[in-house]
Amino acid sequence: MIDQIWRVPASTGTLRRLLACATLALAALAAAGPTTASAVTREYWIGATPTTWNIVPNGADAILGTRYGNETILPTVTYRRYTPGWKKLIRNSPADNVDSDRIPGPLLRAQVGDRILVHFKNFDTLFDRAHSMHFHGVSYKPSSDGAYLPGFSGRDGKVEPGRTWTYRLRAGPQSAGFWPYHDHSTSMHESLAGGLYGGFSIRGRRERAPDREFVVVFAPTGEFQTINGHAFVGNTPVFRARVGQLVQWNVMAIGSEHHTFHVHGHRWLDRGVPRDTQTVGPAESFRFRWREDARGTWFYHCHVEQHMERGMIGIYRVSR
Amino acid sequence: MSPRLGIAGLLAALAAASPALALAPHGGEGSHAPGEPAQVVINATAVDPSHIAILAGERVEWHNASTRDHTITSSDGLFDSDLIASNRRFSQAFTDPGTFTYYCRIHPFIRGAVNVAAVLLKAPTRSLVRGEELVLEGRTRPVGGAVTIERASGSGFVPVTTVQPASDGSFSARLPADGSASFRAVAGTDVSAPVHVEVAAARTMKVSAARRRRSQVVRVTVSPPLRGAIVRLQYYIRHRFGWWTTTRARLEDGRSATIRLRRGSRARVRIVLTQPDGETATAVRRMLKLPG
Repeated sequence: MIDQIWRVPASTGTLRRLLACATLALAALAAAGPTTASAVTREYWIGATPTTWNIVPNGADAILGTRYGNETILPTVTYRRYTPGWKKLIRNSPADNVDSDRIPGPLLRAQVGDRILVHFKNFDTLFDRAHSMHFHGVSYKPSSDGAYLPGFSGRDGKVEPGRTWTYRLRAGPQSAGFWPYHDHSTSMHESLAGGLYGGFSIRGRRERAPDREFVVVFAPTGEFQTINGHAFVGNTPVFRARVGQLVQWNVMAIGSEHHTFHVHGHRWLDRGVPRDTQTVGPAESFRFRWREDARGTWFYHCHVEQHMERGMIGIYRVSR
Repeated sequence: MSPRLGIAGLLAALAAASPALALAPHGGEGSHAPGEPAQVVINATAVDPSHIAILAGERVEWHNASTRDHTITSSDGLFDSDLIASNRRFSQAFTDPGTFTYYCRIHPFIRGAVNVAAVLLKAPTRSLVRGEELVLEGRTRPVGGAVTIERASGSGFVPVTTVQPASDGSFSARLPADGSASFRAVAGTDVSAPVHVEVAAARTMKVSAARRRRSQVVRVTVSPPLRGAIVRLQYYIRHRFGWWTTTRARLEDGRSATIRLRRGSRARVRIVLTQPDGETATAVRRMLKLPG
């Protein structure tokens, strides 16, 4: 996980625009101030739940003009969010819509110092497989590792269908950043291919929340190379922001391939070096922030060309 | 039956199977280039596909794509690969029809099966709507001669069409989907296992929209009923490059659904009726303009 903050100003901006951005940035810093966050216990109720997923809901690769039919529809199992006690299934995120609320799983949020309880239940009646949750970036005892190891691991690593487990996690000083979580049970390989993964966004103790927070998960799904389980523009997330907003991108990869995350018309700093493309490998992740100053409709995509042409591309819209 | 014991071979690099197969509950149609073995990938915790169908006389090759050692061991003691190290391969020929299950001796939860047939026949994995075209695909030994497609009737199977296989033995037959039925393919004395095709009745959908005091109401009525079905209300959205669902509703008793929208929009919307999975469209679509 690499954590990097702030963006290089757009090269096409006028002096006036740069001054406006600088003013906004200073105002934001002042507003953020030395916030004092007290540690809390956060609880999440998650299920591994069967669903039917359409990789290409609009039925097309709009750029190349290729049409797709029902062959993009797959039965699978994904992480879903529930009300306490798994009483009611709810959307993974209020901002999601009906075609994009299951892959990735719920974005878990915490702040350094927090204790996190993730109550997990395996609802897999589709494949009748064991599942689990394994979290990167946080501290826990072995009983919350969520990884199957014959003779060593307990029920946390192999939660059978119908069974539950509570993972007890702590966000320590090294936890600030964006991290993956995923199935690490005996069915890990098939489950990850079907979208059983999600992201964990942890803020530093004195770090303000961004105005806009985006999650980008590069992973193969079926025959396609997907972002958040979808392929091709329009199907992949359409991220939105306004000029002046503090925008945070959370990027991770699942699978066995490396990807190169690229956003058009923008740059960010990676340990002081300006970048507009950054590599992310299996289970790696990074995040960065910028103060948005570039209005327009932009591409974001994996720059591995074979991945782009199999669907790993989306659009980012910035308005005034 | 005794399958000819295979030769564990180390072959040139071959493409790994698509992860798509990991999603399919009953994957493994056995499609592979003529003369080449059917490919199965051994992952850390499972084989992919777990079920594969081949013709009698063909081979299956397992590639250990995980970092662990595995074995491919017949449940009936007919073959055993011994240890297959990471990135190594094992192949086995199967001469007689039947179903041959196997497992990994090191990880017994890894299990799979090879279905060996004289003729292979594959039906669509989804249900069809009456009037659609039914495509049955299959493969037989490339020995020449026509393949007869037979349909189950009350008194057994009766021929419905005849197709000529290509030089590699592959064939496809196109028939009108006029009702649910089982089919089989016959090539000389060889007969495939029957496959079942589910054909649903064509449905009509009535859609109306009305303005209420605080909302707009879209009413959808389907006939004949489709229990558990879902209707999707879609707008054409420019940045989605096509029709995009904003609201879903399940049909009450499979007959009707009511969708409430905010007042104001006079956009054109589309209604799509899907199977109970919420995704598979039954091709019944209607457009209407919202009253505002």
